[in-house]
Amino acid sequence: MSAGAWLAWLVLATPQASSQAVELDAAERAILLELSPVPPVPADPTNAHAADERAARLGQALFFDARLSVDGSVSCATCHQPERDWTDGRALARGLEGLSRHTMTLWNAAHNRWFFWDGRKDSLWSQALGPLEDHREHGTSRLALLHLVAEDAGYARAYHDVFGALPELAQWPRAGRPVAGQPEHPHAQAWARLAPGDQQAADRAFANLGKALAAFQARIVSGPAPFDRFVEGLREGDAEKLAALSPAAQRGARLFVGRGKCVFCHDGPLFTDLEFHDNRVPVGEEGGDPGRKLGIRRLLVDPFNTKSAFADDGGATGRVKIGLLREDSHGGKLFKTPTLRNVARTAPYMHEGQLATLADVVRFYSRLENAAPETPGERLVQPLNLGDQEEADLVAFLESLSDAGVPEALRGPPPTPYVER
Amino acid sequence: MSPLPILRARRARVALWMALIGPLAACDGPEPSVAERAIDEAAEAPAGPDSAQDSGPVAEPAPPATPVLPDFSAAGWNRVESRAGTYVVHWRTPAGAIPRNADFDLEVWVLRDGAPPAELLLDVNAWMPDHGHGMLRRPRAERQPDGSFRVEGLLLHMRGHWQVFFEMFEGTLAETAECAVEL
Repeated sequence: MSAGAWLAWLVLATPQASSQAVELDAAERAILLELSPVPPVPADPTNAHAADERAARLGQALFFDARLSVDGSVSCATCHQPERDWTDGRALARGLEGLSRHTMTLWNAAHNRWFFWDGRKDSLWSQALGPLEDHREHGTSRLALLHLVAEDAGYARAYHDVFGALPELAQWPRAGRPVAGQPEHPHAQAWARLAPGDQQAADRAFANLGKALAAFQARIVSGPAPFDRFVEGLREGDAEKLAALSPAAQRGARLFVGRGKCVFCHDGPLFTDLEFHDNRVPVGEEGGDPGRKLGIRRLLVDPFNTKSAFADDGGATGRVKIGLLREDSHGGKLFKTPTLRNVARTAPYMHEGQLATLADVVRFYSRLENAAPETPGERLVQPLNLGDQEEADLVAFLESLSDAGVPEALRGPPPTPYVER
Repeated sequence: MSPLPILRARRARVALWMALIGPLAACDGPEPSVAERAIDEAAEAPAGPDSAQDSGPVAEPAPPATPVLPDFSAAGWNRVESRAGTYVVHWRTPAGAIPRNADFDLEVWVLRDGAPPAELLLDVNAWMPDHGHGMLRRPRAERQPDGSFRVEGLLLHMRGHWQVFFEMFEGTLAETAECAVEL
């Protein structure tokens, strides 16, 4: 049978009109087959410890430890709560202070090419370093963190097991970090008192903490969802597996890869193209978030980017990833395409949490009510003009991307930060 | 990879447009000529390293005087002429196909009168006309000792219709060849 003539008839047992067989043409079927299963976590050549169980254990302990903040009140899990699918349920994130963007989920984070909504980080380990020193999030400093690790017997052992000896830091200031543009800041003044070689050693150890956090986050991988079983059914011609998706969800799947054009950006098994788009989502009155445009500028000057000396591949990844990055093609307010895996459990949505429910999201793309003006030249986001039933079908499909939830082993700190030998 | 049904009509329009403008947008795939013919043509070509050295700074190494050209009729090679017909571009991906949303390199041969010009600069770019945006990368084309170019850092991040542009610069001459790629 030729590919063009291929039709998949998904015959379902229920008699209602809305649950009749869903017909997929060859192109729709081919795209759906590409959307499952979730592939293994890719290797990160910039982090030599990404697959090290001991690093992951240390990272998990650090992730849940509120001592990694200036006042002991904020951990990574404050915003990335496992019981909320690694988000916080808020429209806008809140650490020590309120932030201007929505918390992104950590599901499948190790697959990402860029990190944060604006892609200002280009590795998972480097991403982990940012919030620790952000005065609105953890508000701590690399020197304070290194003292914590050195003085906590469990951390010190775990660090040594993975990375070797910590720097000799007993004489270092208790807190300190570079503070761009604020030489009078106490952290900046303390940092300036360190010899250049000590600064470099501190940076190296700080990067190592990020690599341990990344090793843990690389284990946050979504499990099989009803959609994955459905795709198995498509592949195998198994009617029972095909029935894993309700008729509404099947119709939604067809819309997703067809008239809805969702798959253009939400592509691949992670349902993201890993890149940046202006989706015209309504913005606040200020509307001042430049998104990717500023993200690129910050990435280029980031001392922990993949071109830096702290990347374990000698800068090979960064030479292409950053070296060949086109800086002039991001004219509008572009934000990263988020994954849709487990999206039904990560409300609210969009970079400022502007839309409360999945139904709101679908309705927005259908009607573009209150949409922001188009980025000049970008023509991707136009009203879909879906009917009510079609909007509901798309929501049903998105709900079929949910797995069984966060594994128990990832929900809290490990018994020890080190692995017993 | 199969196309989206919704794009078929659009692609048909693109195909019609391509047919109307002929070689501007055509990408012919493997050509019938054989490597021996190309070698003969190259041997007769006037351009050479000496003339290149006379015309200002040379950013790229000049090709050998009698380059050995690949068999462009072999599987995997694509062929496209520049808009004014001065250049013929042969290109292929080492992996055999352009991946969607993954890094890839190109091996590119640019021939004028059957031979690689000595002093030639190449830029490669890509554009999604349906979406109104291009690549998020600036690929790097590096001249190889054999006269070809290795282009690294390409990444077509979305499915759909792409136009890949090969821009040739030689002295005061600038021409573009264009290929359609469906992902």
